[in-house]
Amino acid sequence: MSEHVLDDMLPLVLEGDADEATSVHVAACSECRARVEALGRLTGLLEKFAPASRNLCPPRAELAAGGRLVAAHVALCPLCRDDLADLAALETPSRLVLAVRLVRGMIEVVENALGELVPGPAPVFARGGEGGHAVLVHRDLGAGAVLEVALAPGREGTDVLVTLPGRFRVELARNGRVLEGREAHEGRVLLDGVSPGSYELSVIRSGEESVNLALEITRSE
Amino acid sequence: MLDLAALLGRVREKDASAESELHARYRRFVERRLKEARARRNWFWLEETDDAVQEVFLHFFQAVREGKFVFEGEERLEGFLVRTCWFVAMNLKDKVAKTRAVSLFKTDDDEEGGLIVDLPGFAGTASSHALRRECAELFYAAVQALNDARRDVILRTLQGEKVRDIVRATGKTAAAVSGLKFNAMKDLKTALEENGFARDCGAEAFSHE
Repeated sequence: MSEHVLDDMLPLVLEGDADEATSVHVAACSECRARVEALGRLTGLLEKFAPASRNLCPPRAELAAGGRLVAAHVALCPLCRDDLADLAALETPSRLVLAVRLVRGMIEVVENALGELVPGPAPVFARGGEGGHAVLVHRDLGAGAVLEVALAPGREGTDVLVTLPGRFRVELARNGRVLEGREAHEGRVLLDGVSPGSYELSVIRSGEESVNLALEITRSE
Repeated sequence: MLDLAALLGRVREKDASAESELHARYRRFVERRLKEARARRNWFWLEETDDAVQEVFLHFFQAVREGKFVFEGEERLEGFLVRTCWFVAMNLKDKVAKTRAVSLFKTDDDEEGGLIVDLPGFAGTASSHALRRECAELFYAAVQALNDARRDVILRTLQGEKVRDIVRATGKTAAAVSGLKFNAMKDLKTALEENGFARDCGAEAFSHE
C-alpha cells in the first residue's frame, strides 16, 4: 500500500482495528502518522470532557456536603446520583433481623427478617411462654448443625441462650463494639441479663462463615 | 465516653496501642456497614472487604493525627467512619472503568434514565475543580450544534464506545461508522475553533505538531 490512508479510515487506525496493510503503511508514513496523532489528540479531549471521567463532577467531599450548585449537578448527573445512593446505603443502619418485646414477663416476636438475609429454610418460632426459653431462631446450618437462639425474661434483663453442636463462640456487640464474648460449653452459650437495646449477635465457628443476627430487645410493661 | 476521647487523644499522639484498641472496637462496625452496602448496592468491585476495612482505619487514623477529625461524641465518630468508608469504596469503584460507564441515550426500560439529555444544562452545572465550567459549556454547546448523525457518534464516543461498538449498536459497516466518526470529529473541531474553545480551553488538542 503506497497511497496515503483515506480520512474515513483514520478512526479505525487510531483504535487499532485497521487492516494489516493500512497499519503497516501508517507505521512507515510520517504524514499519515501525524494525521492519526492529531485525531488522537481530539479524541483525548473527548475523554477529558466525557461524563464518565468525573472531571465535571464535584469532588466527593463537596458532593457529600451538598449545596445549591451540587444539587443542580446531581439532578443531571447519573454518576453522582449513583455515588450518593452508595453513601445512603452505607449510612443506613443495620436492618432489623430479630426484634422481640418483653411484655409482662413474656417474649413477643416483633419482627424476624432473618430469612431475607440468610438463605435457607425459614426459622421456626415459639411465641412467649412463661419461665422457659422461647426459641426464636431455629436454623439448619448444614452437616447436622442446627443453631438455636432462645430468649427468656431474666431477673436483670433478657437471657439469650445459643445452642449449636460442637465448638463455637458467641459475641454480643453494640455499634460494632464487642460487649461480651463467650466460648461454648457443651454446645451452649448463655448470655444472661441483656438489657433492652440494639445488638449484633455473632455465632462464630472455626472455618465456617459466622452467623450474624441484629437483635433488638424492647420492654413494654 | 471520656475513655473514647482519651483514646482518640492517644491516637493523635501516634500511640499504636490506642490505634489497635480503637480498631478492635470499631472494626466490626466498619466491616458490617461495608458488607451490607455491598450487598444492597451490588458492589461487585469490592472483593476484599478486609482490605477496605484496613484502608478505612488508615485514613481515619491519619485524619485524627492531622486534626481533621475532632471527637464530639460517638455518633459523630461513627458518622465520620461511614464517610471514610464511602471515600474508600468510591476510590475502588473509580478503578473499575466499567462501573463508570454512563448512557447518554434514553432507553425504553430505563426509568431512572442514567441519562444526560440536557447536555448544555449538564455542562452548566459542572464543577470547576478539574476543568473550567466555561470550557465545559463551550464544549457541549459545540456537540449539541452538530447534526443528528454526527452528534450521535460523538455522544457514543463520549460514553466510551469505539467504532466496533458503534457498528454493533447500529448495524452499519465499520467503514461507514469510521467515516462518520471522522467527519463528526472534523465538524466538532471546527465548531470548537469557532466558539473560542480552542483558544481558551484546549489549545494542545488543536496543535498541528
